[in-house]
Amino acid sequence: MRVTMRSIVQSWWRSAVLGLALALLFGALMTSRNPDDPASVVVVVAAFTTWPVVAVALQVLWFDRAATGRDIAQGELGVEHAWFQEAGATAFATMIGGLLFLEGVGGALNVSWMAPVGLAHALVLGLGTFAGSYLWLRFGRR
Amino acid sequence: MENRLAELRAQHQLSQAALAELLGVSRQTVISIERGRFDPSLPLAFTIARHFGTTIEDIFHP
Repeated sequence: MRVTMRSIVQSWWRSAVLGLALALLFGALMTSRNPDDPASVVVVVAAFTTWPVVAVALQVLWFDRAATGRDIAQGELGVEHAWFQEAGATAFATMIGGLLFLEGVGGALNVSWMAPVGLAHALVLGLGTFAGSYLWLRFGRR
Repeated sequence: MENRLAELRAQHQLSQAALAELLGVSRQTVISIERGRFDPSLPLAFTIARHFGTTIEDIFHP
């Protein structure tokens, strides 16, 4: 299938729009964690740093997966299923490793970094790792 | 794992897309198997072997 700008826009626009909405929601949540900073700055910075991650993750986890499942009768037999599992395992290991690293370094320095980092950041890290890993398996390992 | 899928597909004059459709998998799956980057599950290996009228061990080599 020939990849054109039109086909890219057609397949990615939903992820981009929904991703932006979720990233803005994430930014709004971050305002409660940073009450001393201007809310508009927190929302914009948090939204635009997480938007790409959330958009790619939505595409990989939801829209691409739905298309694959629809077009292929036995999706679990395909290589996409193997990529999905491998990316999931990588994301899980990265998320757990990242949290242990923060906890370990924080413990050594007697600083609690877990509270400011929080579950939302760990989730973004996991989503980002998953999406990046899946894209690497799909397009990078030729 | 090495395999003779590309060779068998060429013998049967099938494109990757056509074989993928016959097997009920994506074209990317066929490409990945041919390049040795993806080892198919046992059900898929049986389907491939049955399609080409041969055995799994004739197509796939450890």
